[in-house]
Amino acid sequence: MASDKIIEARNLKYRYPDGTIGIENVDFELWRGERVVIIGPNGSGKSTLLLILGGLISPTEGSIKFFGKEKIEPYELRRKVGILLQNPDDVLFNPTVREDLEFGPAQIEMPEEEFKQILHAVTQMLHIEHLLDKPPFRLSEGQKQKAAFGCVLTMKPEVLLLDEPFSAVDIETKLSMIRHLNELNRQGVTIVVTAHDISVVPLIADRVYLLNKHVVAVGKTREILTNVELLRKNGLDAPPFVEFALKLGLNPLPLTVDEAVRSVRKLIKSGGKEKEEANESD
Amino acid sequence: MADFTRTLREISGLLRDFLAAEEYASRKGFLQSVNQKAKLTGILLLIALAISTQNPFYLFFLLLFSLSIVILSKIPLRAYLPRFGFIPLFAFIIVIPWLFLTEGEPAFSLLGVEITKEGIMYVLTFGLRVTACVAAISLLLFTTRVSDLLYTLRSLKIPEMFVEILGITYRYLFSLLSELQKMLLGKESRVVSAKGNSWRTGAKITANFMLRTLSKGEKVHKAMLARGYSGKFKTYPRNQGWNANSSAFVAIVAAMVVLWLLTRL
Repeated sequence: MASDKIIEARNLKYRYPDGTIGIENVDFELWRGERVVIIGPNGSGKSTLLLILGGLISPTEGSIKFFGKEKIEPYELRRKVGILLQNPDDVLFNPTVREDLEFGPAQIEMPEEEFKQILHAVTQMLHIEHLLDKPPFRLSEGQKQKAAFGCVLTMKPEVLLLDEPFSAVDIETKLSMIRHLNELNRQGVTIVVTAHDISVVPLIADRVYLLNKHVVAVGKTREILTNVELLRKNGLDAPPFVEFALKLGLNPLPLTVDEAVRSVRKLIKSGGKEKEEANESD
Repeated sequence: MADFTRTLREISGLLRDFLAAEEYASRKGFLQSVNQKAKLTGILLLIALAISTQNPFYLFFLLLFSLSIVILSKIPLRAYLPRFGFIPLFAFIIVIPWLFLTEGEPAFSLLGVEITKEGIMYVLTFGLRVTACVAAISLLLFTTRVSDLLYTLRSLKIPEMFVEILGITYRYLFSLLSELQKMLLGKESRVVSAKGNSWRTGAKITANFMLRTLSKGEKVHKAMLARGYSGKFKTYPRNQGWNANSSAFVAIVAAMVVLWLLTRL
């Protein structure tokens, strides 16, 4: 992981015009090449924080540095940071999917040849070639989410900020989006995702922020997701495999299917001795 | 009131479909391949000819010309005609009183009221003029993507402010019609009979729609900003080259101008 800091936010506060506090006392850091997931219950300020991190709204209080700069030109920010809003209906405002995919690259003056290559790659990757000439309102929710995702990808950002990208998609689309995001991350794209569905977090996070108006906890994915009490206290469920492993008394707690399978196999092989040893050491 | 809601929902759906007719703009047809500047200038010229002529035969000819271009441009008539048909119909309804009000040589009498030849000619000319103009502008909308149109307007040195307002209006209108559709559908899904509906409900819907319009506008603006919008719609240029179809189109428009001059003699 490269060592340069992409976003550094200090003491962020956002108050809505009606006086409601969106977030307060939020510190946030993002390093190049990271995969960060912001989790929290509904109304915890995840989307508000993401809009601030994307430079779309300014915090009421606090400071934010992008790429080490106190002030960044909107043009530079938009070229480097792509943000996907929560509702694809807000993102897809053009008459056809093709024009929506083209909108961003045209605004940032990406050369047309480069755009054509990216368009080809993105539409193939997301399997949306057949949707290009369709009006967005004729698409299914999953197709809309893919098209909206494509709108950000065609801008070839260095940083991807995605607001609840898996909330309205089926399991197949969700897994394929996760695969694409991880592939992009391997190619060097930094990723920040907000989610309230904890089950996807282990598949896509190196680090997790638990937000509930303020940052309740921040740490490595395993560290946060295995703290069942902390999650429950903040209106979230632990990942199903953590619950499963806790009931079985497994140690360490698995976060994914593969980890769970490994732990159970180990337990079976040891004939339950491992569990007893783990319990004793606890 | 329930019927009114449904009608309103259907109208907004139709309008949204009309605005989203860009699927035909990407087909490989005659007018789609014509140079954008030539197409825009030519169609605006045809509209000017339609406005300035008093000859119903010429207007009819213009209308036939538009319909033949529609066929050449691979736009199905069943898609084209319904999308602009209601505007001429509305125009005919508005102009009908002139059948009875225009003075001149009596043609026949209807329910004791005399209808004059001049009145018939006026209504016919007015209706045909509106139909020919709408047919021509629909040709443009069916065969041109809005982003291309904005680009062409800009390259024709139309004031930037006008082009921007046009672009924003188009994009917001599209989103707002979708919003209105969803809202009306949401209302219909919770109504079991027309009983209990009132203009009061209608007023509430209108007020809510206005609020949602503001909220939607803000969200779409954020989505535009997120993709680099900085107060000016930029687009990739398309089809600015000249080809045989462009020359053919210019020749046809020139022929229409000559014909117009002949009708003035």
